[in-house]
Amino acid sequence: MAANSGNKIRNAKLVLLGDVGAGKSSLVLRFVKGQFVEFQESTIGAAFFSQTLAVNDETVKFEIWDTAGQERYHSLAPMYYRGAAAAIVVYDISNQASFTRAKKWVQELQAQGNQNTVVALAGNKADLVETRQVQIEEAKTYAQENGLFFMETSAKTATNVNDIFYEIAKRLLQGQAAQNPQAGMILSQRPNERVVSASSCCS
Amino acid sequence: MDKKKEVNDIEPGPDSSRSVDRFGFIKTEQSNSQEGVLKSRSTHERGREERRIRKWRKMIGAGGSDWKQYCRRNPHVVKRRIRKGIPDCLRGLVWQLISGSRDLLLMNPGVYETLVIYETSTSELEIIRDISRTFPSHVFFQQRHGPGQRSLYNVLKAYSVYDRDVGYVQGMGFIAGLLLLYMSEEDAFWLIVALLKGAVHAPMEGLYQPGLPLVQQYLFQFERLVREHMPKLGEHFIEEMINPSMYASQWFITVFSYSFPFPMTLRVWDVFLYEGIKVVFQVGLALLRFCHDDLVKLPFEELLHSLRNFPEDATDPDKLLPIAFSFKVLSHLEELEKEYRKRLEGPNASSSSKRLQPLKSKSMRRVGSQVLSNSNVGMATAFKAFVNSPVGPKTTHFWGPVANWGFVLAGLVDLNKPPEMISGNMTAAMCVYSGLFMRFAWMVQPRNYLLLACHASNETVQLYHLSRCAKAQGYLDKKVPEAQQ
Ligand SMILES: Nc1nc2c(ncn2[C@@H]2O[C@H](COP(=O)(O)OP(=O)(O)OP(=O)(O)O)[C@@H](O)[C@H]2O)c(=O)[nH]1
Ligand SMILES: [Mg+2]
Repeated sequence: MAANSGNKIRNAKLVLLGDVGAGKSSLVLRFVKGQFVEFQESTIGAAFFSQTLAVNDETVKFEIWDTAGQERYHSLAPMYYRGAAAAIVVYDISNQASFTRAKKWVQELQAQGNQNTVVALAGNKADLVETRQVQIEEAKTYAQENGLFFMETSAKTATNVNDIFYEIAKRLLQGQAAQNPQAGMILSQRPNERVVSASSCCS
Repeated sequence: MDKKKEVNDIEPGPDSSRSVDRFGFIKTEQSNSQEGVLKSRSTHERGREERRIRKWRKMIGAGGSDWKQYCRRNPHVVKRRIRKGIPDCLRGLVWQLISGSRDLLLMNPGVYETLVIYETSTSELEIIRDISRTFPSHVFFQQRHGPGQRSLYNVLKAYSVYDRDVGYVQGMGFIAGLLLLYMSEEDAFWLIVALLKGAVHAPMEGLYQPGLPLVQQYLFQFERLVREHMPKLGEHFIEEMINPSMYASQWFITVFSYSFPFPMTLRVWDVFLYEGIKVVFQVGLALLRFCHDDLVKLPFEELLHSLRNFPEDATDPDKLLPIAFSFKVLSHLEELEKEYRKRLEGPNASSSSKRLQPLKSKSMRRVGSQVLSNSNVGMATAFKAFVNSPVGPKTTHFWGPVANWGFVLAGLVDLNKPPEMISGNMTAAMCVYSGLFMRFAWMVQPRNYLLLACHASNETVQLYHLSRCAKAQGYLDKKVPEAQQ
């Protein structure tokens, strides 16, 4: 997963949205640090992480915003999903209400976000099969209807965690190439110089 | 210091193989070295600490009896001593005294119990979901369904019932958790009420109300203060598109009780409870000032990282707090608040005028007479003097009696009720209760005539009831057949 030296690093802002306790922070922690904690502190406000991912001969550097899930913090969310190149909407497969909440987030993203945002739907806690409340088929159908790509993940067992980020990175690169073949891609909305400077070093 | 050691002995926690620090948090490798230093400080330090505790005990008096008088006579001494840190063994008591929560507790006997036992809240599930995710590294809160988690649940549930507009909001758990390490459930509950409803300082419930209005206001104020006091850093933040909401919202929402070293949290709370929310701004500015020269050089990503992970030095309260107090922010904060409100009033005046008077919420009236208005805006001076007087509405000397007039009123209403409905035991208890309070009102300094009058009246009413009750029972015994006709 380390950045290959020599090629360009593309910065991409990614936001995680979803119900309280769906496992947003746990997914990020697994992806960024390879860890899982049984009792992950609830997120207050939002937390920032970054991680790079090599896709073929290119490298995507994710700037990840992990948001707080509670409805009350909703008013803070727009500043994190605004301008995001990608979003992962997370629900907990053992909790039907969290799936309902996920759908609301998808709606909100569709209503406000830009069309090019890659949106992934993650049915997390896939290890909890005995207490499953949301069927795979139900989520799959919903994802197809809404143009999302869907995976069941488990931050606990690490199943599909890297894969979902990898898939996002791939889609970002494809989408960008199709839209704007010649220019250097800017997936995050910060000023050009910063992205350029980031791509010239390999920190 | 002895008390801290006790924590080690009594509560080994479910996983006793790991050791805990002096506050009860499971140790990580980093904190070990620091602990070693603390132990080696030895006898000299301990002697100083003991002298300090003695001074504090004298200042407080038995159970807090001398506190108010001392504060009135020597406000500067109190402020100075609090800034040096409240001794850990007295912290819980002093926090209750300076926050005004002790008064709230005294004038609302039984209210907490009612909220916990008889009321239900729509937030219960949400609270449960977060319980094991609040201070998961502290032995007291670690055990599933253990005493720590149960108290945490009770306090949060009680508050969510008490103020249904606010309910439960993530972040409150950390505040409740912090308080529960130093006081009982009921005390912790009233301290939260005192803070959010504004017993001593401006109410903070806006931090948790829908739309988080007060978070937005504080962030606006903070951003401007940063630009004012550290223009270079302010400029750098703008260039890197760093918004204070990205790093400081949790500072305000949890008053530094979330993800900061515990010794720092405690010292910040000592001062925060006494001096008010301005302390959070000062400490925030101090953190930035401490790391200023590094921060101005960092690009977006590293900048965010540094703003979430301050070096150990920066969070050492003895280094951080002096810097914090060097920022004079109070008058500027007031100006900025006015400016912020003006901006809000531009596009939609109605929503912002609601924010101006957070104290008038329905929920506050629910529990009765303990509304403590402290908005201070436009308060007439004479009224203000009364409000701040030793028996004024900020004190139990005022609200206690007012609440107790409720008994008298209830008693008077009951005069119309048939004597069979009177509980003899309850009425007798009321007689004793009022008798005791009459004595208390007479002995207490300052002598509380309001309370005395109140309980004298109650005594009269209740004695009358008792006689009615006694008569009725005697009467009924003889005339049962007649009543059945
Ligand atoms: N069994 C299982 N538990 C998980 C998984 N992911 C997360 N959890 C647990 O679910 C709880 C909540 O996880 P978080 O990652 O904190 O959830 P969150 O979405 O960040 O929640 P907020 O920050 O409150 O919005 C934690 O106790 C995790 O240990 C998973 O894949 N499997
Ligand atoms: Mg989280």
